[in-house]
Amino acid sequence: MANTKVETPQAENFDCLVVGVGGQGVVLASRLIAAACMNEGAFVRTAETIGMSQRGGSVASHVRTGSCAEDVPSSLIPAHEADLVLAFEPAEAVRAYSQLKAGGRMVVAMQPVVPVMAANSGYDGEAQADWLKEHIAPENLAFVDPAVLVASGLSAKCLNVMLLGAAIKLGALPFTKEQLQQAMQKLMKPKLIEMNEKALELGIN
Amino acid sequence: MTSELAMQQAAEVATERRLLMGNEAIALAAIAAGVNVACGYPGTPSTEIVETIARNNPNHSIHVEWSCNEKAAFELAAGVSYSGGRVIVTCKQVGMNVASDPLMSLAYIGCKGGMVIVVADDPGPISSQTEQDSRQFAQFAHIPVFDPATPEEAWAMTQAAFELSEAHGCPVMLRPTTRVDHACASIEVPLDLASIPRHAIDGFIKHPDFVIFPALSRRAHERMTADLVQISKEFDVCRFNRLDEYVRDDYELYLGIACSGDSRGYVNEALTRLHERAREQGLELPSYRLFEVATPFPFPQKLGRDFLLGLADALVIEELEPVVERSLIQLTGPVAADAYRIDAPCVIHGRLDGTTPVAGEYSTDLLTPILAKFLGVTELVCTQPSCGADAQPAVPPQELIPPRPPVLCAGCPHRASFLAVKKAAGKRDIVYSGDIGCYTLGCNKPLNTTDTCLCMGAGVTIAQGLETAARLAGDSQTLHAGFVGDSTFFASAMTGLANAVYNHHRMCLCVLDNSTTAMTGSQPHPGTGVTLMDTKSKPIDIAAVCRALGCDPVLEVDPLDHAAAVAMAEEALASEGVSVIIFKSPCVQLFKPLVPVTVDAQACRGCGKCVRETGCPALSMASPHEGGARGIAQIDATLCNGCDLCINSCSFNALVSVRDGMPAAQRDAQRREAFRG
Repeated sequence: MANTKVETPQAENFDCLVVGVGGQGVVLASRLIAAACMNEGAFVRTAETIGMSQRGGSVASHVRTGSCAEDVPSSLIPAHEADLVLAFEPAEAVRAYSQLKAGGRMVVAMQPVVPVMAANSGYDGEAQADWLKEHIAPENLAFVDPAVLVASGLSAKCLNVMLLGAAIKLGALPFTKEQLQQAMQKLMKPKLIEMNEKALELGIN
Repeated sequence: MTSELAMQQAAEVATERRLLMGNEAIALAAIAAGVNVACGYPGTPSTEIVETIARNNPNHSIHVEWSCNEKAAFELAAGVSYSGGRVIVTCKQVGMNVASDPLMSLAYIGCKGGMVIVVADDPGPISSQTEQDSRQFAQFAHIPVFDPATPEEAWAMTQAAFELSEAHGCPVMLRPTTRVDHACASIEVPLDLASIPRHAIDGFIKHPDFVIFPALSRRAHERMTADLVQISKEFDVCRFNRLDEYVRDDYELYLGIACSGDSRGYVNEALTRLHERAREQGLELPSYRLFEVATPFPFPQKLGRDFLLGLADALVIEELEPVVERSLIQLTGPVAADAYRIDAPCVIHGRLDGTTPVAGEYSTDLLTPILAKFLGVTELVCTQPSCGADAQPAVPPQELIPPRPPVLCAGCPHRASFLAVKKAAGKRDIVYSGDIGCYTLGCNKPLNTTDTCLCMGAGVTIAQGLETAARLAGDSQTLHAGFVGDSTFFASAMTGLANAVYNHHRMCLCVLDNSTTAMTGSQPHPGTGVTLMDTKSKPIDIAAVCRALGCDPVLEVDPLDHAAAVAMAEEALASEGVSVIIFKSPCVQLFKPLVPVTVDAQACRGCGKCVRETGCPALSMASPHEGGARGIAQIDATLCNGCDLCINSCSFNALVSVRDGMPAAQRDAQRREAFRG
């Protein structure tokens, strides 16, 4: 079991990796984190996967903050330095494990997206979830069940906000629910806000 | 009047801090520089520059266009610049190859209005055919190049590039890489960009110097070379280049590190880490000099000399090709200009002696051990900085991390087109000559319908070479099918098609017409009838073009109408000449998904044929039941777009669609009606 020292995330010293499968909404999640940190005065860099990998491939967005540009020399988080990994998919969560620092947090959506190369393998993400539970302390690990979204009549596209809600509940983000809501107001189309507010509540509760 | 002026000035300085992608920063900087025209051809990672200018062009005072290919864009840009207009032209690194003909000559002619050429390189490569280094293209073409390390530097350099271009009458290259183009940073930008006036265009004034001719070229060659010497001197004092030292009293300075591009960030981060770890262990790094090269060509020679003076060893860190490294070696060699010659030889390490990797993207993780070794502090490299030496992090077993390469989307009409041709070919030998676009993914299992892929347009012409070679070797049976997308058709397939008809080649060209430039994120092209100026133009009819070129037959079909598509493909493949089949169905990214297909659990026997035939990412087989009974097919309803293609592969009617029995034309109409607003 890794080091379980719990740290309070700082808006001006925060490295977050958002991973998933192309098309799941990874970029918007990273933009929301970036916007919320910027509102608190942080200098922010992100790196996004855009292009061919978006076609159902593994994608990762890096979000790095500091008090000034020199604080954040590059946009890619080095190995074992992520304070938080936000994973939209269990196998992608395991793939990103080596990015997580000791004592870092991980929030995982149990929404297995079967890779085409493993379409006959019976992949369901359970083995991945079990491995993560073995290697990350329970207070640093949270799972989100996207089925709750659909059961509540919300679009599966709200998964990104639901994951952010779960991360806030875990104390893994350097901003509050209200600050996230401000970022949502800024970045989302008005007609999508109400649905995403509900998804946020589902993630937090 | 005075108060108005004051207000105007206040408006000019009012800024806001925005999170901007590198490409957005370049675009907004061009707007702030009064750019008149922005053009290019889409290509990852460059695409968002032209798109951002188009989105921030409220009164259409800037002419913005997606040109048909890079060559067209560059020549258009040259005309604008000749007329005194400011122009930005963008492409990815391989697009520079297409535009190399105008570029090479343009450097000789020179330009008038500021002309900034943005060429986005792609170390890795992440979404490209090659790892070519466009800084070498700048050297080859005799034009200066700026090499930004961050989005905020790209913002500042874009404006500097316009100034330099006009000051010296030459095109200037800005060479960002993927991690600058697609990285975001908090950047201060003017609050009201729309109020910044456009540059005043003088108009074209006729002069013999605009006509390239041998005598003129010889003079121009001398002029360009003299200009580059002058620009090199300006780069010696350019604010983007940095020369710093970390000096210890007890340690003589004889080590130096030079770096460029986004590697500058990685080097700084790695050095910071090494300093931290040294402090933790009560140690100190040796003295070193750090040279950040932001203008690799013409190389700032005096700065280079100042960097090398007194050094015994220098390490050069740059992705792609050893451009800075070679420039530094020149300074230590016998060919360097006397003024900058270094007499005490410094040994230069980097790509050429194998110290740094030849290929792939660099990172802080990759560079930390290389820097530690160079500085003689390898003991400071540990695998996990924040854990104790005894707590090695766990490594997940590989079977938990299935590979996940990009695939054709669920519902992608290309999958249906490939399957139709494959079925029509049956047991006959067929070679699939592919091209650049989403459909390159046809190379993957289970489709296996891309046997070659070289560059834009080669799907048409490689097929002709394969067919010719086969014929000369006595094989007249093998079928040859070329594949190009609709945007690629206009960019570079028409000449190849004319070649096929004129020179009597036998082939079938399949145009995968999904009504957009899909790979780069849905840009319009001449076949769509939409422009970046929000005007409509008459869509150019691909079938009519093919007929005019003499292709026969020229067929059009909806690939999702499977039976009809197979029949059309059979007809096209039977042709003795150049046949064309245009598969028309919109990209799934353009419309809202139709009702997904479902699995009839009673009917499904778990044979897996649907998965094996289509390779659709929405389809998979469930885990076997207890007792070993086969798991049945399952459809991910969040991915399925309702193309219904998989239904054709099921022998047991276990895949069910609400559109069962609906005519193909009606399904196609549903898709086209569901276009995303």
